Amino acid sequence: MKTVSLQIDGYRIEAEEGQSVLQAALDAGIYIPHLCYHPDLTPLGNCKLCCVEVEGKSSVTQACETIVEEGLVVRTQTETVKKMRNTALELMLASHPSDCTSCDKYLNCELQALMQYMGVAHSRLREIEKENIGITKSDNFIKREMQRCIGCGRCVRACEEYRGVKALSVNKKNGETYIGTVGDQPLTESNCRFCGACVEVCPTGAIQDQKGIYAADAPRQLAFIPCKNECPAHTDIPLYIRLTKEGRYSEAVSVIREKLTFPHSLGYICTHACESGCKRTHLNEAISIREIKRFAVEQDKEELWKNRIAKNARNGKKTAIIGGGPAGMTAAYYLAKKGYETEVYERKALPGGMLSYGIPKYRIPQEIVNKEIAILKEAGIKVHENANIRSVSELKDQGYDAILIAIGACRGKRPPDYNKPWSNTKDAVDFCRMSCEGTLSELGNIVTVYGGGNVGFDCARTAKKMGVNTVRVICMESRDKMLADPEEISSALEEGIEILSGRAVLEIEEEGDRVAALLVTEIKGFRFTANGLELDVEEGTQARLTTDTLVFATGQQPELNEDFGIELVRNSFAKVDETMQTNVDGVFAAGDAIYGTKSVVQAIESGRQAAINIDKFLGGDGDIEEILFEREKQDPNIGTVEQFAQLERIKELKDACDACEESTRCLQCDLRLDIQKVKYWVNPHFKTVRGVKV
Amino acid sequence: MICNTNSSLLPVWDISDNNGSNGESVAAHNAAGCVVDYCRKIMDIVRKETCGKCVFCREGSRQVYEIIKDITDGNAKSDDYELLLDILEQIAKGSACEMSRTAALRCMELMEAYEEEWDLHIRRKRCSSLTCKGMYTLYVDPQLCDGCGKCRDVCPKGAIAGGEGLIHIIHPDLCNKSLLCAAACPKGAIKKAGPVKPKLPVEPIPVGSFGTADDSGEGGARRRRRRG
Repeated sequence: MKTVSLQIDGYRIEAEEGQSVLQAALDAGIYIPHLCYHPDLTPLGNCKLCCVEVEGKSSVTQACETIVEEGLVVRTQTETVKKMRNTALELMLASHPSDCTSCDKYLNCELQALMQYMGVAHSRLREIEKENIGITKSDNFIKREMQRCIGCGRCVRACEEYRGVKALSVNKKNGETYIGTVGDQPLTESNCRFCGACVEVCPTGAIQDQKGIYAADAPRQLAFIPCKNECPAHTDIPLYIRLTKEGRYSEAVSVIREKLTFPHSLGYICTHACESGCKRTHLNEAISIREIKRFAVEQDKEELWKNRIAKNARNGKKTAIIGGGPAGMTAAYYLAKKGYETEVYERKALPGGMLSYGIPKYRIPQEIVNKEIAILKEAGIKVHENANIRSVSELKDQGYDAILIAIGACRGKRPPDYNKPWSNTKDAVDFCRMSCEGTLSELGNIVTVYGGGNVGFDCARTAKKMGVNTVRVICMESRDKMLADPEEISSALEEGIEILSGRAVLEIEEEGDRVAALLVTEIKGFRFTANGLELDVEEGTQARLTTDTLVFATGQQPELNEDFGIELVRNSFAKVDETMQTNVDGVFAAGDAIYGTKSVVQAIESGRQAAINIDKFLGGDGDIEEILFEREKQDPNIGTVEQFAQLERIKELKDACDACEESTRCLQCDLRLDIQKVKYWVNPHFKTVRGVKV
Repeated sequence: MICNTNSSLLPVWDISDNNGSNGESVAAHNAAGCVVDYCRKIMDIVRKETCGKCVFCREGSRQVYEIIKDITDGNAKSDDYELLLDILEQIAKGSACEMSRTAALRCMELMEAYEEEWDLHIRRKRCSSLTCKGMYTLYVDPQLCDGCGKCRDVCPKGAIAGGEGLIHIIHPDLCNKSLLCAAACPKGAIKKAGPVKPKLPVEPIPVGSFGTADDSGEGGARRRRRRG
């Protein structure tokens, strides 16, 4: 890059050829006020704040529009310049509300910062009341307070030239211009791609994100990508959706594999917290992220990621993992890659945990789980099957430097009064395990499942698929608050399963060692207090329901007891510190064993964290991150898609065409982070000038 | 070039415009004009024609228009003259568009050339040509009015009292100076009055009955002064 040398306010500075005087000054640490200028947008010279005097030129010019030249002499602080600059700001403030504290951009506002820098206040000018500020209304995404608009036009340029969308424009009505949408149409009827670039570049509080779209408690890099933020493993979802759209499936899988160890299985059964975060839910329906993941994995023929997986040389240290479920296998995978000799002790004949013995086979075929475990084992994990470890001490003498307890939550938990060994009742976790093992015996004609979470529906649907005549799910939550995925509920209904929501079991009628019937009532609400469950019963709605089998899907807990050799909390959960270490030095715990039943993806993330913590404990750097797909610079110009706002969710992706169409619906929230941040005058960057005093 | 408008939209200022005096019919006044009102008009055009991109054209012309409008409405502040020159100078120097630069320069020239007239407007709240709305009142000349009622019919504010055969009277507080009455009057009886107010009947009285000083209980011509 050719450089030119110029002089600004008595400093000789170097600038890139073709740069504007403004950008050159800012780069060199010389602050020149600016408002309509944005580093990603074409300079227009509208706001007049960056005006400067250039030696040899009679009039004041805009630094943003002046291109650097060898030997140019620029002055940014002359009286003439200051006067013009101050008048320009005063003029903008004349129609801007003077009460800054009532604005959500307070203390994060470029206009306010400029007022402070220039010492200009709402002052001697007439207060102007603009007439057209009410025309463009707020919508689901954008909160508009157009009385705060100072007409810099950044949003229009961002939409028009940076994104190539053209949903915003400078409009005019009754002889007054205003920033609005093209044709004053709502954005849902415009070309808008809901990318947020306009909000990002707005220097004032005129256009802001609606509250609730982005998490307030997450760092900016995550908060602006809600799907990624919601995903426990923070998978780079927008990127793999984009790659899937381009048909680059192996690259997409590479991105997924940077964070997830069981991508194919997750493509079937993930609880997809990402989708509930999806910004598109504020438009119509979330992107089918899980289905896109599954499609990409199934179309991945090249397996490009395999060549990029890094593996350290053996470091001579040994780790043992108790439990070969998602958490255990994930921790084992990363520890093995870090160079540890890693052994997994799995109680059952197959690793996979709930993937193999919990989730019914109709939801995820066993071969898929087996294949994924085989891939993980390639990292050099030794798995001992049928090895039931009942105590940490069993492994003590074998020279392990660290042990991880990842045994999951495999014991059912019933309401306090129902812990009786009735012959025709089962806990859901056992029911599912037996179903997976093929050992589930005769269930009778009526099966009742108590509990409306995903596990409850797994049991109910399994029973129905086994040919049981009447299957019903009873749960205390009302229909709209049920814990199971909506897809599970609708599938269950299609299969003829009865759902009795908003009901509680009051009493169980016994007949010998069997449960004969349930006394059920409708409830208006319920809550758990120190004294136990409190019901708000709907009087006169009691009913007696006979049943042949009763399944308790009312919770699960780890199978830990005092004999295991670690300190417990809440009876059977492993007690861990912030590094996931138990009270025993070198013994860690991860997954459901510490926090109870959540999800496979949560267990994977917990396994990753455990690997990080164990590596640090054993003297490593704790860095397990890997780049399996080299990031490319994204083109900010996304252009338009016909009827973008109306595109409907495709629930099942039959072919590449479906996958591409569904991926097209993505709002590409990640692109917003590529927009440069404007540096305020207080930025430390402007503390020292990078130039020579002349 | 970011804007397609140019100064050809602005009407020209004719030096003979700035005259006219008390007691002439509105028609005669219309032929004349006021330099302050002219500046208000061209800034009104600029603020409405601006493409809205450059701050000096968009906000500057609007601000100047609002200040001059306050002046013509009789609501000037004492330092408005200096304030106007200040802003106009920056518009003339900094605006991206030829139209607003030209308008600003023209205003500045006219402010300097007619400084006394501007001073009269700002400090005395007076317009020598009785063009500026805040600086005159309308009245019906009792000698000319034939009581036809046409002025009363067109008044949008209901500010005119009178009936058939009665001399009509304009209520100055209700009048918004739409001048529709002046256009409607076949006799040219609607007139402007500056600070010197003519002797008028207090209530509508039969046409022809107004003539002697005794008829008007209010007393003769009075001079109203406001603080400058």
